[in-house]
Amino acid sequence: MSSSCTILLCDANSFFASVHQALDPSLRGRPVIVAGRESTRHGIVLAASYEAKRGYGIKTGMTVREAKSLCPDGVFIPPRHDLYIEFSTRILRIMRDFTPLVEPFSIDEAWLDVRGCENLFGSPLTIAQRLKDRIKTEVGITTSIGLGPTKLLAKMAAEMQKPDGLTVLDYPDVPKKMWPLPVKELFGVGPRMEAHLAKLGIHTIGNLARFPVEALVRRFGVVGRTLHQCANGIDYSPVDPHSLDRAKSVGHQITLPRDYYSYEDIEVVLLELSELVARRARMGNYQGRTVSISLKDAEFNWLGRSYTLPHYTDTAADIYVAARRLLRRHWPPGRPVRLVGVSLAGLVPSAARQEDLFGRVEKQARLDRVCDRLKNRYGERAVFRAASLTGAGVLFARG
Amino acid sequence: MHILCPQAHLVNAVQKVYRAVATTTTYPAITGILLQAHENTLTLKATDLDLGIIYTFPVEVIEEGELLLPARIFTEMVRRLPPTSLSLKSLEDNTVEIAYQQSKVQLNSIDVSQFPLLPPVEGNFSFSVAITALKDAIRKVTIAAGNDDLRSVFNGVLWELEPGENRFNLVATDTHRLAVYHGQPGDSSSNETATALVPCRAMNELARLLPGEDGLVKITIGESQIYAQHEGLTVYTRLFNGKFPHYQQVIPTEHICTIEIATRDLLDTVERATLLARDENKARAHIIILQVGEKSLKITSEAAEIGHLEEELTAEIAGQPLELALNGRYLLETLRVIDTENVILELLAPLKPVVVRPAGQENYFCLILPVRIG
Repeated sequence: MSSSCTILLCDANSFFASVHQALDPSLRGRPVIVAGRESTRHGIVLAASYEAKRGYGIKTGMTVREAKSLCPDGVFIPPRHDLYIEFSTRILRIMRDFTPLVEPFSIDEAWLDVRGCENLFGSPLTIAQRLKDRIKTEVGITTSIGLGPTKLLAKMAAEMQKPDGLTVLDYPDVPKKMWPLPVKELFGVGPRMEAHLAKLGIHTIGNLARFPVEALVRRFGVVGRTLHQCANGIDYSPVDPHSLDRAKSVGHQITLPRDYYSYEDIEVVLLELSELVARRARMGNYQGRTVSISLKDAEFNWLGRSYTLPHYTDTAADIYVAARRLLRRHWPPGRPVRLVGVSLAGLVPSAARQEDLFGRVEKQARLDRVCDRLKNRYGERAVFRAASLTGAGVLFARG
Repeated sequence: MHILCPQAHLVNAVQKVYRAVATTTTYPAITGILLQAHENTLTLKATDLDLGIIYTFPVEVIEEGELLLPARIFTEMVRRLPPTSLSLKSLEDNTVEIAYQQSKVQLNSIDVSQFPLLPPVEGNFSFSVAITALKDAIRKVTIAAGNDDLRSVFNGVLWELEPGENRFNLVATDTHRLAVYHGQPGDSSSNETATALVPCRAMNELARLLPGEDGLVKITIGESQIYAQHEGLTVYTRLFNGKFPHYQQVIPTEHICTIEIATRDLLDTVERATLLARDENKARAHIIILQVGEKSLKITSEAAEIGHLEEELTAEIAGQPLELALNGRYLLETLRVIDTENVILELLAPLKPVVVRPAGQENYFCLILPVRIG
């Protein structure tokens, strides 16, 4: 292992399920499945313990019905996001005991760069082992850690041994350990890219690494070059402890309790989501310009469309008008809707506000401020739109 | 139909009407240009059902008749024909034969009966305007119009006819700025006031189509359409139905400070200041700060990653010192349409509209609302 191998990726195994097992010893060793409630149709497996995955073939994203037929004596637990955030924070705190260079990647994964920490805590391999041990004893969660010279190789290494792994992947290991893997295993290659690559006869990471880079650039642009570098283990991005400080977008989506058919019903939910999104933007002191909606029909076909406003906004009315327009323009009337999402992107800190000649913006901002104060003090349901009281409302008016 | 006409005349005519041809539509007839030969003139018509352009010019008519031709290929073809006399003749099999020199090209035509009937030019209000004044008004007012599909009333220009005052006004606003132009109408048909909200796009097309010379345009305001006519040209457009806000209420009636300054100097300074702050994705995008002192106007702007700028301009200042922030792009666009040597800025308070006027010209002003810096 070369001395440049200082980047770790630490992945908490089956995170949601592990949190419940850590809290309740009686669940250890049993197939634990975290899933939404079937009655409100949030019945999808969000996480499964290794016992459930290995022993019964449970996969994330399965419906509860499927999971129950595969694993009738599984322990089904509704998700508790507050707990996951608390556990995630505790794990990050342990990581920061070793280095300030910690970049959270998701709720259960983070990169660490331990360069320069050798004299304090030992070699990177020793640090990785100590980190694993501390998380195991102090939080009760097992982790898989990958160690490499770049974020990419650390991530690839962590994927190689799960659960409870500690894998090193250095540049010389790339041809032997990475190239035989299917190309979809490469960080950044999703199902669509996989299909595009298959058309070029690229099926393994090795195929991609040896493909002429010019041809990839012609076909995919800059992405083609990045992919080619990744397949060769090259990645120039540093571990950035502030990557999450700058939000790029805020969004919310919800699976509806039943399929909605009419624009009017869907629009009630769009309005509720617009309220949530606008409030979150305001809480973070952001304004955004690009409004996107995302919709899924009964067959899980997905549609996403966006509209860029001429001005920055943090108010629900503006977001809603754009969302409604997108719905009516792009979603065929009468097509059933199962899931609705609204997001606001192109965020900038709201340091300045263009005044409006007819006082609309100022009036709306005052109203938003008052509602925010009410909600901060009395909870999110303290004040809501009358539309939420109609049968189509899902977010505010119900227990 | 059979006509003879020089290629240059036909190109000129086709290019005039081409801008009204529908591009994205499921109705094929309006992707065509209608040709009507009648009494030694040829009339070309195109419409996308919002905007319509009609142009009539003299040709030699051998046989009267009508033809509807696919706009794109017809325009492209005519432009490429040699500069000689052309013969356009409709044949039996729904095609047209264009003959030139010893050659000919045959194009398929579209069924004429499918072309929509264009509304006749009629309305209770009509008046005439000098072409130069109208083009000037369009150039100066459209800068303030909005471009937001979600609020279309702000994408229009309000026309107000006030025969009692012997005045017409053109007004546009995107809610952040407002431009007002006063013009004098000639031979007005009615003594009543009238208003129309005209899409900005049609205004720009009209300005493009009118020749840059003396002459008059006749404007007719109908129920849901407005028409502009000049010689062989008629441009009409559907009006927006929305309600334009009561703009008079937001025009300041007083100010505490006036600045008179050389237009060119201010324009150059604002251009440099805005350059620094032009990143759309930054919180302070386009923001410049105006500090009014006793004898000078100081303009500053900054962008954290790029740098900062500070310029001081001598100006004639009357009133109290004041500081405000505004979108430099808005001020820039206004200054660019001001033709007088000096420009006057009238200020009232940091968050009240700034009124920008050409010094010595009473017929135009633009007001810009400042930015609140949090």
